Amino acid sequence: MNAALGTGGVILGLVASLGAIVTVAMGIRGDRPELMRMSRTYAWMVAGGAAIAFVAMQRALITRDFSLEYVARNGSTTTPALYNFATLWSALEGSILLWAFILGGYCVAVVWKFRDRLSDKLVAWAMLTMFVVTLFFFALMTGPANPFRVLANPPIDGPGPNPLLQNHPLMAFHPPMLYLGYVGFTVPFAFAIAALVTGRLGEGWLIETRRWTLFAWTFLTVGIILGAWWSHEVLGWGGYWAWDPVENASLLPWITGTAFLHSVMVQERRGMLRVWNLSLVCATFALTILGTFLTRSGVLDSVHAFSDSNIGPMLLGFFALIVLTTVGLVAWRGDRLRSPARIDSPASREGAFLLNNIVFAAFAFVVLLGTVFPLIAESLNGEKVTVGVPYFERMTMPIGLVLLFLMAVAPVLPWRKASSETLRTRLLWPGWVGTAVLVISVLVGARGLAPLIAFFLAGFAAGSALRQLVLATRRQGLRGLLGRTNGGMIVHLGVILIAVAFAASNAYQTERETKLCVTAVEGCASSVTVSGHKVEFVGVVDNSTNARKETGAKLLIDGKEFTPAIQQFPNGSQQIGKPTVRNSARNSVLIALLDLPQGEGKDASVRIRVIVQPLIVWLWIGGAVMAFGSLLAAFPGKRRRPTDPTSALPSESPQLQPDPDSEPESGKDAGQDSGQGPQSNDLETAGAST
Amino acid sequence: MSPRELKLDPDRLVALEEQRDFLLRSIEDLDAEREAGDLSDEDYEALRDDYTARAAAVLRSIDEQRAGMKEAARPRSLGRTLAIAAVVCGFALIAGFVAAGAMGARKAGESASGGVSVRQTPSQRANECIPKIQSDPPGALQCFEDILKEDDSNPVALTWEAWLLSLTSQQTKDPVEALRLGSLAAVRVNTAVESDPNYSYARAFRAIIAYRNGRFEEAKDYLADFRGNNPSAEAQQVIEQMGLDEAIAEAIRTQSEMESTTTTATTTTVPSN
Repeated sequence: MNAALGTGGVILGLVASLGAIVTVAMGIRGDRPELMRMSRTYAWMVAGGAAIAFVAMQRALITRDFSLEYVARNGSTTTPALYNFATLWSALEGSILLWAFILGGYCVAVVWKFRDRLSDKLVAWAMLTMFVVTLFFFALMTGPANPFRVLANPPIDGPGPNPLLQNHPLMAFHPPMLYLGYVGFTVPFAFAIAALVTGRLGEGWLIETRRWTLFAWTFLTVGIILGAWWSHEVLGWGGYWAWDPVENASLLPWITGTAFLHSVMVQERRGMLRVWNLSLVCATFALTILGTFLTRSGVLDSVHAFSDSNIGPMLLGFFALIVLTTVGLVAWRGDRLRSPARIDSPASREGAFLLNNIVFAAFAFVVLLGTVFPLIAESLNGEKVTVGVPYFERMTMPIGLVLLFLMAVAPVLPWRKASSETLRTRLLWPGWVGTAVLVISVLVGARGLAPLIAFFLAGFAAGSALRQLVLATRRQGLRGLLGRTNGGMIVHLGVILIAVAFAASNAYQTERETKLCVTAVEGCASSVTVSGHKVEFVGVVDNSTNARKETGAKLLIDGKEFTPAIQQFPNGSQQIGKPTVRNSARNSVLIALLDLPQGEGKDASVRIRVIVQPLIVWLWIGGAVMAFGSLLAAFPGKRRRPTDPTSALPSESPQLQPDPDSEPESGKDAGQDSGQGPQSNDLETAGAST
Repeated sequence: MSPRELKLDPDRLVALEEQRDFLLRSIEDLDAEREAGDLSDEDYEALRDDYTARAAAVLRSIDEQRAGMKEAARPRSLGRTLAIAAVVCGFALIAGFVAAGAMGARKAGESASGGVSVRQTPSQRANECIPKIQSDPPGALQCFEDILKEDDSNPVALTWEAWLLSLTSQQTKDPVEALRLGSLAAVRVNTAVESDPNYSYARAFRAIIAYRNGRFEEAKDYLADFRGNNPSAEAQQVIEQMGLDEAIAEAIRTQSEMESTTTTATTTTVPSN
């Protein structure tokens, strides 16, 4: 039943995708609006097919239908409900199903949003591109990644998902968030391809897709932050970012997506960077596919494992198709992508954005190189190598500091060029904030060049963002926080919180391993104090359930009870640590058991690792602030109708042209603040457009 | 954006091209209608002139746009291209150099990049020394000693070092050295049992070492102690493979026989008063 239902859903999605491609292509070719408008029906069919398959798989997991190979390999009778639900995305086939399900949802959202313009060729080409992507994923599910394969002799129970995926609720939310981000980038990619094919390469397609990009980027940000949080809470190593290929695969599209969100403003304002923006959008989508290839093909275990994988060549082929199509189309449309505008001065908003994009590109290159270097090395000389964390830390630290500096300077720069007087006036307060942060840091005992530079730059950038927000709210009250400019400044504040927490937690971490006994004996104390936090061993507890065996150590951290444990799942031989974290605004105390507690009652002993890290909790708060800022950025004040096919009408003068999504009033604030000089017109709009 | 920049809007060019296509199609339709006799010559001329004039204007605008776009192409500068290439190559070289410096052999279970860096506990490191007992006994001894310098009551290091010392004592031809190593092994394994009473290997090896040192009664007691403390399957397997029960029983029997023989001999040889 489940297999038949699921397979039916997959085939419906596949056929609908194919039908949509043929119908919409005929509509475009024959200029037949009625055929182009059929994309609405097909989008619903694709989404319906994916939903049926999704529901069928969930039903199979809930009813423990071990006749399905996927359930037999990843499900179990003892997996708790939440993790059983999340089992759908715990392995390859389920992940592809989740991808198709979300993509179906995006297709429906796009046809609904553009319901009055489905016969517009730009929208039709975008839909055609999206249907090609849905076709690829449904084809994967009918072939190498079929989640509905049936076993001739089903087992009576399965091993359940990987133990690490069922010992923290965050794992139920982190992957769907990431996928909402990954898949969401299909929409701007589809419109970029549509713009290239139709030649409508002005700013119209950017405006159509701006919120879709922001939406995808926000989900990806939240997904990455949740993943880091999970890593910190579950793995018990005191870190949250390990630079492993799976993490890097999510970071790469985030970096290019972030670069795009900045550079798009230069195109909207000055008509520059058209090729760059198209390339960034396409690269972001291509990187989501490359990331899926890297993490799902088995190629990172060994390049030789790749030849055993069926999905790998298909993903790599699709990646190549995306890259070749994009490069081919950009080359074909090269003559239409030129802009006569030039950067007048490096000390200008567009100059800062360009530098920001170069730094982001370098960042992406560094991460990509570190991730694929082992593959290149292994394919050349057959040796299995790993690129260690020091490479990523050495290369990304200066990049991070430059980005912090740009976050401080760019928001105060006007378009075209800035006078030294303007810079002095606008950077004065942010500079003072940075200096105050630096002095306070030194006074509270912070040492080390790199963290102190980071704290100063963070204060500098925070001052700059706060200055912008104060100007906006002074004029418009809380409504001034809405819109891309000021929502973006709140996102900056979130990034600054993360940067400070990152620098502090890495530079000032204290770690200790020790053995504690309930009754202190010679060589084994009953408590230990680490960085001012007293940890006392009280006893051993058994929290085993049907789903898992769990032995914990009851500890008092500063008088409050916590129970780190070691878990063993019935069908897995691996013992999994379940650390405990005591969070406060100042620092976090993480305790992991190093071995199972020994002995019983008053004779019990346990070996523990205690890690005290300052400001960790601000990483997660920073992530929430970023998501909140993105939400505010998605709500515009006064703006141009996004459905207008062109953004720049020749009859309009630059001064009369309304800014896409922001309020001229806030720009006036910026102008009044700086005030004078030849660039006052630019200043009028500067604050309103970042 | 200046009016000149605004003129070079690709969207506007597409709109003009669509307009051009429409006007040219309209002229063709006009011709067809005239041939079919649906239009008078006067109307045809008037309409055609209008369409032609509009098409000409549109074509001029298209030409202007295209010329403007061609003009907008930045003149190629070899110096700038070389400078950009040099910066990109320089950065790539630095990144490659740093990556090569941070590169290492990938062991089983390690990720291809980065990775969770958890410092191993002394017990974990001691477990990694164990295979060396076969392949590199001096290396193994050094490995355990290093761990014991850091954690002198580490049960794993103490147990397996005792095992290594016991093996070495058996292979040593010098009886004094063999006795010394055997005694040292007994001390180490006793400390291991005290340090972690639940570490099965410590109790198992204590029995074996006592047997090897010729203290069979102690070995028998230690074996019973091992069995009474919920031993692990692996440690039990070692005991079974050695046939330690039988070996101890045999040794005790032999020893008691020897003792009784010695006693009898002594009794026989001692002259009665």
